[in-house]
Amino acid sequence: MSAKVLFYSLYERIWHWIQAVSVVVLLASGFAITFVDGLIPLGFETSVHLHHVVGIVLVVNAALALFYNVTGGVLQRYIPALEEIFPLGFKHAGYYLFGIFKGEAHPFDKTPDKRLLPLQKVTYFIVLNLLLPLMMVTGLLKLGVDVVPGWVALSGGLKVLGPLHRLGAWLFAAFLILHVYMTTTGTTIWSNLAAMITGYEHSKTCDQEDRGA
Amino acid sequence: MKNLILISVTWLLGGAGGLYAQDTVEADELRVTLKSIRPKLIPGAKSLHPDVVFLTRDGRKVLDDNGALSLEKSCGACHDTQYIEKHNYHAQVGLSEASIEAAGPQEHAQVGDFVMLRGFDPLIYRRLSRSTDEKLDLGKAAWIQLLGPRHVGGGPAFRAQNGKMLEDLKVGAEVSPETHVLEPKTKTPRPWDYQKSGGVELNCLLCHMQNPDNRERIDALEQGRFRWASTATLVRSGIVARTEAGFTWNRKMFDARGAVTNQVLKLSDPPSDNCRLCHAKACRCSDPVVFENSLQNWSAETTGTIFSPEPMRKSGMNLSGKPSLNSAWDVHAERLLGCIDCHHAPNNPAYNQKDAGEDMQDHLRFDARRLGIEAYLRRPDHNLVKGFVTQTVVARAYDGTMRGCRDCHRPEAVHEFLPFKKTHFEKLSCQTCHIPKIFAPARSSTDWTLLDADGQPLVAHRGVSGEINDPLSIIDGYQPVLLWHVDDQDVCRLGPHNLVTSWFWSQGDQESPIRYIDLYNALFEQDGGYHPQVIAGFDANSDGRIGLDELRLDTDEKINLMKKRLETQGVEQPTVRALMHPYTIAHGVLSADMAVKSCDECHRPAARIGKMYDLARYAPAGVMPRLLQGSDCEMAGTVLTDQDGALKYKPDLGIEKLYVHGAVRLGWTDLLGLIVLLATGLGVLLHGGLRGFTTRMRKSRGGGS
Repeated sequence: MSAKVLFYSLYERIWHWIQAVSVVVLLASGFAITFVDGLIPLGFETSVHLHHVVGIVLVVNAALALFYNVTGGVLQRYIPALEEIFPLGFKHAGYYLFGIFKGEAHPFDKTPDKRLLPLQKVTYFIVLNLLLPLMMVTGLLKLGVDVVPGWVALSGGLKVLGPLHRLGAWLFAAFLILHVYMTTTGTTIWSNLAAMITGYEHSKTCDQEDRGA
Repeated sequence: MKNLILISVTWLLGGAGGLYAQDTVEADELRVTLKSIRPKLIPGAKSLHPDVVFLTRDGRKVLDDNGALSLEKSCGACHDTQYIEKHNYHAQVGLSEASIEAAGPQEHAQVGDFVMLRGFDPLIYRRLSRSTDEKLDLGKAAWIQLLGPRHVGGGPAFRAQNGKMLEDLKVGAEVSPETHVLEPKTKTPRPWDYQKSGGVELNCLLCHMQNPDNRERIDALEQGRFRWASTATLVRSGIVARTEAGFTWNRKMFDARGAVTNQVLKLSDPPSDNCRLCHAKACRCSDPVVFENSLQNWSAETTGTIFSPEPMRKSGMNLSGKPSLNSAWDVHAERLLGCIDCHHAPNNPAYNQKDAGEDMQDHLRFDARRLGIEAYLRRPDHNLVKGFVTQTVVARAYDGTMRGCRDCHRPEAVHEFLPFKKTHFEKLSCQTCHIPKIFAPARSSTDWTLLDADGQPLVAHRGVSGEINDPLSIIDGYQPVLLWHVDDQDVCRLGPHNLVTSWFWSQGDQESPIRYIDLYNALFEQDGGYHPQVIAGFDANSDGRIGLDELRLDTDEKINLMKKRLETQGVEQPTVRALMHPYTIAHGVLSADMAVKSCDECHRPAARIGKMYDLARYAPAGVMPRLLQGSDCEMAGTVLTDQDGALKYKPDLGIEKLYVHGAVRLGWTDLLGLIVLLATGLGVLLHGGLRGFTTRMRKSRGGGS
């Protein structure tokens, strides 16, 4: 038995979808800027303006989320403990490598307080603490090349910022594919996606807790 | 009550506003501006320039013995003509640069290093011989005859390297470029009689007289009548007439003092048309602009720029898409700027205002001190201010003395459409976008390894479909190549240039070309026809003639034949060399609506910034050219030949100097990123597929999902 529990508050869902749309638009417009004659025929000028506006939206959204998580005291959710890498991370990986094909039950159950599974925590830790800041810093410096030329020069100039931003974009695109795919590994293919829309998800642990187990 | 208050407030505000507006109008009317106090020009007013007594070099009146006019003496009555000649790079063409810092006469021996020019000019080829040259090529007198038509006189045309006047030179036993010229037929040096020819004085009239007779002046120079060059400039005015014996002064044009009025002479600041006599022959009148590409039209030949206010659509030339070309040939000319408005005398008190930070103390915003008009007119510095262009070969110390684009314009105040203004302005010269295209043809290559039947080099132009100067050829213009160049703010920016490639023979390790006469005699016989060996080697269709298309140095047999022919002329180890001369394009600025505004012009891989640029139809003797050293230009790219053998320049869109979004390709970064992305996608597909497969298997066995 499991209970339907509110996992994601309204703000968290809004934050997530703004971030998701921003990342997709940034990747698309970034691709159109880099490969002007490529698959995305947005045009250079439109792509640049779009990239700038949406980039700022992403940064503001990320800053608000940081504020929310810090003041809400839930920052710990995103910091993996050593045991979550080993052994729990390995156990988690073992499930995706073998158990999932045998129809085994998921080795971990999520609760609103422990909504991130071990491997998720590690991945998000890298994405949110390394990749996203890298993209934001390099992107903002590139955007501010006229305003803070000294900082841009200090960072090595566009010849350093450009390739870093571009490599980050490729990694972000890879993360996006993986992230979307992983949403299909829930109870049902759509359950994780539905949870991020409605906010509710089934939890065995919560059901047992509700039953006083 | 509420309405009453509202009406009262409105009335008060309105009244106050009205009073304020009235005050403003009055203040505006009272305001004195430079524009409002500028004196209006009175049409037909008498010139301020006094009448000029025409004197000979020995100070007598020209009418006394029908002598040659000396402008040094005549103009020297009021102006310090010796100062003007010395401070005048148009006259000195480098002579003063050698002499100013001269430690002794030996320094003067280097004059040839500066004069226009010992360094190889692919358009002219010949240069003034140095005293150290093994063989004489161009002696001073021959230099005057050849280059004098584009030289204002004075400087090396009037004085020898040791500072003496040419007329006073004594011919010694030793052959010297100063005193001897080469006899073309016998290839032997002979002394030049300067006593008879005289020297060429600085010709004030050529620049300051309206409608000078340049044709007569050139004729006098070419005929070796150097002393009479200034006199000849007056023929069209009727002051002097050319006769079989020489020149005869028209006494009717003189008053009793032997003076000519300025109503006849029409002396003034140099009109732009006078500058065009040497720099560009395009018309600046109400007639349609018509021009030719030749060495007489220097500006068009080297860069294709035409400084004219006329709209291009009204041109008499066969321009491609002419009806749509609404811009003037040059927007500055259209805005009534003349040559001297930008290229003024450096000590002209009207112009030499110092700005803060420009040799002025920091606390000052304006320096009111000026050279008095009398002092200026007595000694106007004729080292005219100039910008930074790669083709400059003289007076490099004056590079950048001219106000550049940013000294007159405030680009930051406009360009609203342009993101990252500072970055764009920092990396690109203004001309890059404001001269996106040159609408006239320009020289692209000069092949001096072979000569055509007229003894001329094989010349090619870009920007024209068909023969150059053929009225039926369509002129489609060309996009200048973008090169890194130190510009007027001492900043290295990407700017438009025309690359002129040239090939020539040199002797052994020498960088300079062989003598023209040796090249000519290697190819031609005494009667002016090609040498039989040359015909045998180059006449591909065996018709007994060598057509232009057969003049190609493209096989080992032809190269070896030419080497043997040159060796018969005494050239040791003949070697083909190749150079690329960059010509900075600074004129031909288009109106704003024709300037580059679209990002796509540069921000795509095959765009202007990374576009392949045609250099020449082939590389003679397979020799690849290198960029001229010391040109302040940097070519970030490679020269290569395509499959048809045509020579191209491929800009390198490396990120070291310029990171152009949309144009740069980051090989390793993109490859690594793509591998990660594809690996992720493949992993997801495999994992998802396997998941689906095992789920179905379990279902078919009756298991759950």
